[in-house]
Amino acid sequence: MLIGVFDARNIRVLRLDSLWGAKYVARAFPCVAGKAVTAGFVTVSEDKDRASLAELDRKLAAVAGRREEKHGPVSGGRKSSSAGMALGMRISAEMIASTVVGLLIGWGLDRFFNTMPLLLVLFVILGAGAGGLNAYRAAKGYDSAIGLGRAMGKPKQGDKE
Amino acid sequence: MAGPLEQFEIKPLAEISAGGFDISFTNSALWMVIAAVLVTAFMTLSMRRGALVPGRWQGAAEVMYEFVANMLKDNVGSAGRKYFPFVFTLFMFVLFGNLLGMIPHGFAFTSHIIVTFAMALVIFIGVTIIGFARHGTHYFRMFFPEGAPIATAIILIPIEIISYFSRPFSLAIRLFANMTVGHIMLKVIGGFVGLIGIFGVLPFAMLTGITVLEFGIAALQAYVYTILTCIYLHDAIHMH
Repeated sequence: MLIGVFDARNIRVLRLDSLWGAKYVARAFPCVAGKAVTAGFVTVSEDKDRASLAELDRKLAAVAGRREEKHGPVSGGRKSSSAGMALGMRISAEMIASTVVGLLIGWGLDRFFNTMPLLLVLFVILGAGAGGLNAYRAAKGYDSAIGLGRAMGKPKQGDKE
Repeated sequence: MAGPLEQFEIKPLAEISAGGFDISFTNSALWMVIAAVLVTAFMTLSMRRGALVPGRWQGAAEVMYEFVANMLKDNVGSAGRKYFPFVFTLFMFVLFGNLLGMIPHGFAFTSHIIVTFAMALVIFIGVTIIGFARHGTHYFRMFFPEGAPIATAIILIPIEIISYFSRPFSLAIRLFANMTVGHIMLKVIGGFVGLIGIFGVLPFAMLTGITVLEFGIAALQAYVYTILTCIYLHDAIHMH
């Protein structure tokens, strides 16, 4: 049997997923308890086709299992290189943006309190500090992003519920 | 030969002004409309049949859908499901905006900081509202890291506030800078090709490589923009 996932509003199969072994659900949001999506059962074919499909499924699951043993999680491989590059892009902008925001806040407060260079200098330093902190957090993955820690293949934390 | 910055010029196509404001329909606006129409056409036309076994177009649409859905699920969790339409729209719009800029005579509207900043501001304000709606005044705890000694509050709170307000800036600057720099680089190196005669082969070869790189950057920046939106959503919903 094959199971598709239906969008409740326009009854239409969004995703057919029979290749992932026992997980007969949409790969996106596997265990959603929401009302918007209801998993429906679609009988695709007659009994004898079903039997052959089930057998194919078993074989595919076995192959996927072997591959995972050899090369680690299936989703890990290609994701990590682009995630690493994305992280690099993040860090540079993070430092600039924080300094600029510190500068703007300092300048605004100085104009308000008429203490021209004082708060400007203070907030630029604080801004640069914030930039460094943000870059550090991004790299370590403390901001729950796919940080360097995760990009380098640390075990992935699941949903943080 | 046009200068490297002329490609970013905003030209009004239809002059409109309302209440003293210049709201002309410009080439930038035209390309935004093109992007929106293309995204809508791509998604609706390829999902029109909704076949059980997807064809090529439906396959492409499903890949996009799943990519964003997985990104949202990995970074926000199930609570992020509600915001999927917004995040998906954002991703497709930025992606198409970046890629349309790679078409000769196209216009990359994401190479204007005001466009990226406006989008970043919508995200920032939206995320802040979500945070306060879910946590109330407890959301202010965002500005003080958990477990830090209370004496450090005087330094840490301003730093955290700055880093919170730097979010729309870093979102806007990153996308804008990457797109602008890429397009300038293509133009400048393209200028060398005709200029140095037979040796123009060298910059031409370089240009070929950089064009491929720019396509990669276009996709990657759309990804970065979207994943940061997901991260901010995560912070607003789960508070670290």
